[in-house]
Amino acid sequence: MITIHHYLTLSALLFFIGVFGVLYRRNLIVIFMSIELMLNGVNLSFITFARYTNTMDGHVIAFFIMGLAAAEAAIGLAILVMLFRNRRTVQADDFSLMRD
Amino acid sequence: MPAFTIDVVYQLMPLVVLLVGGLGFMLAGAMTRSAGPLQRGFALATLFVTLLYVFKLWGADAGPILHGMLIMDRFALFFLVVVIICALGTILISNGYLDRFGLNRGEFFSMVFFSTMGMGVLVSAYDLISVFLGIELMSLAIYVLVAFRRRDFFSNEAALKYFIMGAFAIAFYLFGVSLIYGLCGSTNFEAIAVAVSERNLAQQPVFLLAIGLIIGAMGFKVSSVPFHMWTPDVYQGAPTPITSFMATAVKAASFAAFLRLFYTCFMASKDQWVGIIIVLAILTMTIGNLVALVQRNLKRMLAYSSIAHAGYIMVGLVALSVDDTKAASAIMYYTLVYAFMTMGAFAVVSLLERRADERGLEGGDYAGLGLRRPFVGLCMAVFMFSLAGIPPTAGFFGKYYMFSAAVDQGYVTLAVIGVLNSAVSLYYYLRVVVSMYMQKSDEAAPTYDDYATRFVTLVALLAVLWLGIGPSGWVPGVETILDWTRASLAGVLELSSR
Repeated sequence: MITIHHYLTLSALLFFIGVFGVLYRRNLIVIFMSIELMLNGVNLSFITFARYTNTMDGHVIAFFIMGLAAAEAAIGLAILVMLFRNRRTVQADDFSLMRD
Repeated sequence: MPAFTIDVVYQLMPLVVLLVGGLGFMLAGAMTRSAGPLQRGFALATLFVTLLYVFKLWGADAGPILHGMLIMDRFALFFLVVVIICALGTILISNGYLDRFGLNRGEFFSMVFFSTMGMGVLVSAYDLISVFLGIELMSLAIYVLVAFRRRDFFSNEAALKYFIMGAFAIAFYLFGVSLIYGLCGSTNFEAIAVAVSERNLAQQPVFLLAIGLIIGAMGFKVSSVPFHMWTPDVYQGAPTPITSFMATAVKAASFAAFLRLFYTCFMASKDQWVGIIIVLAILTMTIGNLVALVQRNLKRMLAYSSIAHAGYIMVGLVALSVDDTKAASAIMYYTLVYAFMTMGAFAVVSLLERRADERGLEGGDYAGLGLRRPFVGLCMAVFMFSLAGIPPTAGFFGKYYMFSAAVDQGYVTLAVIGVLNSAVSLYYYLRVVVSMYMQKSDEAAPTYDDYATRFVTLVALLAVLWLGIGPSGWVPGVETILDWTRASLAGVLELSSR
């Protein structure tokens, strides 16, 4: 029997895999993917709670998040292309011109 | 009741005007290569039309609209005015700056408009999801604006850092919202407030976790200390008009959402979260001021100073109380004052910044400025005094109301720490003034002259002085503004206690 706890555990797992991806991977494309993973973990949790509380809000919110994630990916990738044109690299460690 | 009546459209007009303006400039940007004086005039006119609608709506003080997604009450309108003033200042400062740096594109205004509209959604949000949409609309446009100097490595890097950190923070916010949705069955502010008091959620660990996640994300947006790492880099790398936009408008809008969220939804569990905010406020003030002491680059110094000011405003969040609107109205007054003095300081910075390298931003470049350019020097000196909180200026009264609200609520130690911090901040603000008037410049660093930017510094100068000591009359003085804040907060309180 799959209960709400299974879904919530899965969503938390997805979210924290994303968090670790952002914190520990150095390739910017992988970092973007990890952020998407975090958002999808959140989506799953919204859908689960929507089923659990018998309301439609969670379903709608999931669509909002998907739309915003797409917009965010568009701008993020545009920034990445711009960086690559100027610097020929997408490794996060190479972008450290500004320091205290 | 139909959700979308003509009355609702009327209430949404400020947002609609901004949206239409943004789309119009996007179209104009596709057709012309550079934005001429006509487009700039049009940008200012659109913002004035928005202001006009805001003033017309002030008397209505309406309730929630669109099934409780937005609310155009006086609280929202007050912050909308602050945000629009910041947008006006940004467009005026950018007038000469865009030409000097070869950034003169119509998309610039388009993005400023979209971002301002996002702030409009954020300040009028009455649902956790409209807060999310507002933050995203505001931030997505700002990411583009930060990256506007496409060939500049600093600008690129700033955009990248802001984007990754911003997306990361918003994911945490959404995770917190999903937990609240699971507990309350709704994301509406009113429904959450009812659920919290009826089902006694205040003690639940999951609810507190959700509040913690939301504080983290909001703390990122207002650059409070453990989440402030992006601020100096982004403020330094972004084009200066955009830095001033971020330091003033983004901060004001985020604090508006922060304030309304905690005032309406989470007041019942104040005892649980107030500890976190106290720690954050102390850290933000102290670290912001201490690190600002050692900065050479003026934009970086102002970035740390803006972190420190976020800390002062958080003292007001600590002192929030259902019985007394003093702290909340101090926060509103402070964001207005802070917007004027920071906008003015960045306007002066933009006059000295030069192309190609990061010249014109080091402390030494200000040597003798007060003698070479008396008016600009005088303005900068007043802004620095105001940021430091020296008496006849508005910055002093902002801090005074904030700390006295904290003392009234019994947070004496916190207020003392705040005052000590202001004393520390005197050192680095006055260093700029000393450099401007006491040091001789060995090489005459060129400064640009630009009437629009000078106009911004003049208006900011008058506002900083008038908001401090000006009597209320034809031009609203301190008392009038405080009355307005009280009038706006009455509506928020009434909704939260229902």
